[in-house]
Amino acid sequence: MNENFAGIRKTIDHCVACTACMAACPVMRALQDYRGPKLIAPAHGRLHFSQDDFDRSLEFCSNCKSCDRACPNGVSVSNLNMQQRGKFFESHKHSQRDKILAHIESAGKKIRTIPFGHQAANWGSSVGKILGISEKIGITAKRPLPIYARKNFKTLFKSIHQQKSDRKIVFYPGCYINENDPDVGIALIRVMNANGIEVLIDENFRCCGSPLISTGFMNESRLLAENNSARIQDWKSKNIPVVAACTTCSLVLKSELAEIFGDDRFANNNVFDAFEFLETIDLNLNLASVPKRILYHVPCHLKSQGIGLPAREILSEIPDLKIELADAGCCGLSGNFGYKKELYDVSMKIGRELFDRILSSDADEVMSECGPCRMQIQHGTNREPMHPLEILAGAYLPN
Amino acid sequence: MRKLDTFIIGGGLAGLFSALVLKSKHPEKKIAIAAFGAGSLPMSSGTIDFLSRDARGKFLKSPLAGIQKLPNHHPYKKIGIESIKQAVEFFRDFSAEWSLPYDGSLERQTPVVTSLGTIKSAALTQISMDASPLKYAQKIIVVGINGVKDFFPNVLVENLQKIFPQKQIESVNIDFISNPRRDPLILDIARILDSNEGIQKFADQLKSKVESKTMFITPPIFGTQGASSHGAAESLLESKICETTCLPPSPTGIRLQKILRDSLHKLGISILENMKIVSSEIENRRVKSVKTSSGKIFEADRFILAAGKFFSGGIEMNQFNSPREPIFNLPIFFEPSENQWSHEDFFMPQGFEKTGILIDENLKPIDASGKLILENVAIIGEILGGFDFTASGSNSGIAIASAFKAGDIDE
Repeated sequence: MNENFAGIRKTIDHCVACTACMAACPVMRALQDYRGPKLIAPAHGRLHFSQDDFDRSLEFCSNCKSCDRACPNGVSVSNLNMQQRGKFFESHKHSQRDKILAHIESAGKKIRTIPFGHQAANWGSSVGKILGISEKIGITAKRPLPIYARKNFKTLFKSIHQQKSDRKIVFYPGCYINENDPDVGIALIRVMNANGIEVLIDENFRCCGSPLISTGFMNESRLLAENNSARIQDWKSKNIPVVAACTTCSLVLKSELAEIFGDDRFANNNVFDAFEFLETIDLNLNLASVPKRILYHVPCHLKSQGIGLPAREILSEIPDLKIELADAGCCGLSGNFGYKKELYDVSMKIGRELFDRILSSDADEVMSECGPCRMQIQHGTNREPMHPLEILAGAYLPN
Repeated sequence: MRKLDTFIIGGGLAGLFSALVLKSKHPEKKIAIAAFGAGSLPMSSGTIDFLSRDARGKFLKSPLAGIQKLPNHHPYKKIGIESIKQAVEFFRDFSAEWSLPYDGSLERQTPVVTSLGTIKSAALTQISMDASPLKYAQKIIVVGINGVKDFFPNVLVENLQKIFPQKQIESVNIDFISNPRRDPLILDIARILDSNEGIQKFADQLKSKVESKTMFITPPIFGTQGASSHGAAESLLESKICETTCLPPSPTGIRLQKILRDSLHKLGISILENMKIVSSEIENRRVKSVKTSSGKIFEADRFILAAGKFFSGGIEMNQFNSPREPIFNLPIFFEPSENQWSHEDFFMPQGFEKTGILIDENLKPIDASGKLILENVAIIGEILGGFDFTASGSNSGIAIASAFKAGDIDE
């Protein structure tokens, strides 16, 4: 077998078939076609010792990682699924749709080389929907595609003046914040500056690889892992931590790549979620009152990091702010999963509990760290959620 | 993270219940729970057995009478009869308040039909599982579900007929998922019966079978939240319905897990997921902090260890006679004589099952000589040592009673 199956393959034999993962899987709950994490990852995964044989219901795993979090024995269920999916595409062709969904980083880069490219792209994606082109290639027309911001974060960054400081971090914006939601990056700079920390960026960072992993482009994802891990190590040697505000990016860079490729060079202890990092510093508590009630949807990929709820801990320092957890499971979008035409309904069904929770709440704001979660919440409830960094930046603004 | 009052390690029955008791009795306390994995509730029947068999394997009609006869070093004796009684009351009140009422008491055993049609018993069961009304039934109908491979109505009929030779017992199969694309789980059916349409579909298919004094036995399909689905189905059929235990995943255990989690959510206690605690910092017999596998440190005044035993890694045993408790490195009781490590009869007490941590009257860990090891740690649930809780039918009872005491005696 492929040497990629080393490492977490060993965890297959930690599976005692207890079914905790099946009870926790949101896709199984919403969809009869999926045979479930236990049967696909450890059980079917074992068969790969002897033959190349694939269960097509593997395509229904959304990589939300609820199975991993339910497992009492530390089986890397979802990553075993991702490995098998990668293996499948060694001998099967990718669809045009999968190629598009996996390569959002290069699409963004191309758009930025054309004058008014972001407008053309936003216009193109809505025309594509009207003309039925997206549906024809398998991307749902029932939800909006992410809107490209007028200027991306990396461009905006150049115009921001920061006080020089000995305390520095490197901000890893990731594709979504960079191209679609640069305000979150700006908020991060405000928060860090308010704490006397200078924010750097590294132009040589690439996409974390999550969209490629979940669509089975393993070789490309490995190249990104090589590049990004080398950059992270380089910053580590300068004692500068790398901080991400997208919980999928931080999860992937911390541990996912190392697990999937069985390569310890990709395990990075110099990567932090933004609020996880803020917990490690002596926080500036000169915070203005924010008399609001916030409903907090905790992203799956934050839960998987096993670091608790650092955003809630930090934000609870803001006077008069009340935070309530939505506690309503997975949002259902899971990166590009919910953009697939045949999975749109499943994605919305998974999100139903969260939508109902939000729709019946009288909270002033909804917040979540994860870009796709925020898009799904907006699509399912018409409420526009915030990133917790935007709320914290607001509390630092007045002085 | 600011220093906590109490940090609970383990998100299973014992850990969740101790948080609930602690926060209910001491609302000012700041508590967090670290959970690695979902615990064993999704695989459990959700019944609370307090003590079903004595040391010789003899069935006990009254759990309480059995508990009173236990030796003084048994965890139940350390917890104390009064606390055990209060734990039962607290649990009953809590479950009723969250619409999943439990039947039973410490003084008698409530019968439960197993997935094979034998009868087991527990002190407390969800009302939908209480099989005592079976003795009044004239006709018993075992309901199977087409496509569900985890439930065997014919086996149940055959075994139940041995227990109730005078009664008319038959089976019937009903439909829920036509053309299933994978083998439907009992849990899938239970999720269908979370809806009124599902309950109606169930009743419509069985209405014609109802005669006088008919009782139905089904797998645990009546929803994943609370007891209302079961109650509605009984009303529609105007008959008693009794749920069996089942192969996992088990909707009855999932119901109990759900009300525990929902009640903690309401009390503002977070369950920190995927968090494996790997080590601790100890000074003068007091634990100052614990550390997660990702390197994060949690400080607290008090710690409750509810990490379970072998299955969940609360105790590791890479070699048979050298068990290890990884977080606090506590001394562990281990059956000393090698020929007692296991018993050839699977259902008899197994020596290795006695592996665990010994405690004093305040649930604090002690060594074999009785010396106190840590001042600010309470040990609860399956990780307690000295006895085989599985063979004696007391796993959940130990969890509930020790968790109650740990929450009640907060210092």
